[in-house]
Amino acid sequence: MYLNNIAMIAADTTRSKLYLLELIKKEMRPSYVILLLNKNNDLLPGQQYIKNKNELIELLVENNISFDIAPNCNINSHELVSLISIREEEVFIFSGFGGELLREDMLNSGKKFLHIHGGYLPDYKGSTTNYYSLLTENIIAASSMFLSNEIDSGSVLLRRKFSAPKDRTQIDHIYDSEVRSKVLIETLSKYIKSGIWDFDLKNNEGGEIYYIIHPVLKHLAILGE
Amino acid sequence: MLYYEYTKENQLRKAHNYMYAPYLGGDFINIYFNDRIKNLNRADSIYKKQHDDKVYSYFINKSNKLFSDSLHQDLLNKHYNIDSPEVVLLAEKKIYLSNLAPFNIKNDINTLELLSSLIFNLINDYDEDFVKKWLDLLVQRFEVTKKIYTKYQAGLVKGSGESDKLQLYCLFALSLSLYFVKKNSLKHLSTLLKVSDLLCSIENEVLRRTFSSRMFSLILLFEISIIMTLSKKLKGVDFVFE
Repeated sequence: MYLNNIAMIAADTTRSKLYLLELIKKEMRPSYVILLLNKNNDLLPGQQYIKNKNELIELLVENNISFDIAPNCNINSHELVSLISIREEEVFIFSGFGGELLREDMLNSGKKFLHIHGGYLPDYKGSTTNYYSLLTENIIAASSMFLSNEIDSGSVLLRRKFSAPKDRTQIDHIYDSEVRSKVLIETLSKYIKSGIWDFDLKNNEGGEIYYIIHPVLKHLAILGE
Repeated sequence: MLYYEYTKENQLRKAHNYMYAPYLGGDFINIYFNDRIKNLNRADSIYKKQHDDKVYSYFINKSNKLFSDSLHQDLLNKHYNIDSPEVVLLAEKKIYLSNLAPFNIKNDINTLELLSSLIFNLINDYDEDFVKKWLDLLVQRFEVTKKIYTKYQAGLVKGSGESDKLQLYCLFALSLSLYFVKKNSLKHLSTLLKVSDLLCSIENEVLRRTFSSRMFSLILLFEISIIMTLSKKLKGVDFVFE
């Protein structure tokens, strides 16, 4: 089964792969995927290994999901904005490289970008917030929303808290993505069931904006059990 | 062999982005402590005869009192010479430090004035909302650019002037330390660690001529003491201060 009117922007990251695996497993294949591949030899944020063959392409081909490879890996490039603007889908699940923000041109392309933030909104906005919430509340979380001009300030569709994972060394590439994909699936399930995008928190104001956690605090969050 | 990579290269020339820092186990905390102690010793060795101006002495003495419950006593005794701190009464010295009300986001900002006022207000528990607002604007600017400029244009979006004034980084670090003491905010502690990394990455000859050694020592002592408290009983963290 394919999602009607919902496509996906997927950078070549462990998170995108997990999203796609879960979407396929739950019979919620996006109607179209635009793939952002890293054509350099250096890893980009969110990538764990350099691979000889591309697992995302294999996954899409195996599951009959229509896709294009983006002309470059810059999410805000003019070419990519044009490519997305002309698509008929109204909503794009967004899974970019780590730390990327959508600029005005893309946000004004007439599409909605469904993003799953790794943190509980509105309390934890910004970057690496699951490490901060591990240190303060011993939990991790994820919240879904449509992206807006301000960081993590779009109306919240769904938010969930989760217990701290047993192996905290794998948060970046496994557990953070895992809780986000759970919230993604639950958000889409709700939409499919009701036919409308229902908001859990319309007014997503306030909270704290966090920045990339310092490695010392990151280690304390991982070592603390 | 593990080493603390965040102070190896002058961060004013090549800033670290801190993204996806690899997990290196409890040993990483031990090497962090080693690196900071090395820098405390460095501060001791190069600044012995320096005198702080009156405003800095005031900031240092007041901050030291506010930090006193958090500071690790053995470290304090060994590294921080505050035997007879000069008590500075600002009124007597006719030094004027403003509250934050005159600062307006619509006007250009002089960063030294803003930071001095922030510290003054943090020390005296004034203007809590203004303090958070202005401190967070500076945190945002530093986290995005990894620099503190001498001036910011209206809106505090674009910095102008010089960005290598270590005095400003030191005052910024002190204001973050004071904010952590009051609010226990990990966000501000995280930025403090990055600013300290930057200061510790600067070569001796530049450090020597630019800013207050006592303030630098106090900030490092405070930061180490806080991390020590947070890392108590953690698996693999076994650093012993000697």
